[in-house]
Amino acid sequence: MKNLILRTGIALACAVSLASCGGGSTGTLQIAGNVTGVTQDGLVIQNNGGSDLAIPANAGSYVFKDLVPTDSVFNITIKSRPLNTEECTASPAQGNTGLYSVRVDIACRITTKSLTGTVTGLNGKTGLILANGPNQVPVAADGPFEMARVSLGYPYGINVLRQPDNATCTVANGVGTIADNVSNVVVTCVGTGA
Amino acid sequence: MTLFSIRTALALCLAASLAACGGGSDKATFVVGGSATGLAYTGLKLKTGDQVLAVEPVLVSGTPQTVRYAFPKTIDYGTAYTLTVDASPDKQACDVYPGFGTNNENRDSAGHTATIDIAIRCQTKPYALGGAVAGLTGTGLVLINGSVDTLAVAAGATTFTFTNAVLVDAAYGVSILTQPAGQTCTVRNGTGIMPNAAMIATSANAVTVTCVTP
Repeated sequence: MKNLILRTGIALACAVSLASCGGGSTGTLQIAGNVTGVTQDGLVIQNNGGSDLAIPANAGSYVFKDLVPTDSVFNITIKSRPLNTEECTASPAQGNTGLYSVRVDIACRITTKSLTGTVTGLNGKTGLILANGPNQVPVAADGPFEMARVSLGYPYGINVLRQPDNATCTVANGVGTIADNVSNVVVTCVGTGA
Repeated sequence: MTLFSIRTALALCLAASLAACGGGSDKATFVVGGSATGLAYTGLKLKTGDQVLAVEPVLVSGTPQTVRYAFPKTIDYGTAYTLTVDASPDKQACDVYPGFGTNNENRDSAGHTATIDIAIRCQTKPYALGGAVAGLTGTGLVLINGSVDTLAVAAGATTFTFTNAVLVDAAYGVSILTQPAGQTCTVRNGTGIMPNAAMIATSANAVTVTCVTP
């Protein structure tokens, strides 16, 4: 009796799963995962060179529509990635499904650009600290300075977190949005006696 | 057969455990100890029984290292113990992780596990970054905190608060990314080090955005 119910259940489940896959899939396991670092469209992934799955901007996760069989090989490849990324990786990219649905996370690294500039007028005064939000950069002498790299499309705003001893510095071209490497930030310091 | 082998194994096990206890006369003793992660400031105190232990941070280039701790007095096999965080550093919240009960403590008896190893987790406190706005009548003002936060401020606003909290002692720097239509705004006290409290419009050295219509 119990067995009969179980069998009926399995048969029904099979029928439902076949119907939902348009009859083309023989599998029962899902491949799905989280997606990070995707802020633009353009990410397309495949499993075993099969149909494309486009993952849109800011999608936190994805699910392959096609179910895969138990104990079968999966191989997730990145067919294309968003233009603002340097690299996208699937992990684990390859493996064997075994008995359970498989989680494969996709992580893209957004391209970063340099944020640099020049300090003048320190003339030996010490103690200047520049900051872009939480990123602090002490500047010891006149000349070039380099902040932490910033992701493409993100804003930046350079402030004088700490004025040098006996001088006051101001920042020009300190605010903007990263479209390419930035090198035109100018920090001009004027001595205040001593 | 199966039952027999299980019994044999149990008997062997019992013999082994008795041997480990020195034949049953002298009880084994246990050190209540473990490790603390994320500890960045002085002030952590742990408590078990009548013992209170101060745990000091170890920083390498400003980054907290995992530190081991051990209470000086050992406890006997079978003694029930409870470990709680007696005090956290002012700028951090530390807890037994994972902890149990309303006191978020670790309870067990000595010998239940081979050694007593209780993890303590410390997290530096995050606070909201905000400030005052004066004279804003135009639309379109966008403030940023470096590259980590972007905030649109509506016309008529008198205060603002960024979405992302800032950790105590981290730098913040508020700049104007986009000026509002028909106005020019400036930021006063735009940059500083996060105090051990939220930065709001009435804070000392509050970030103040003042807008004027030319």
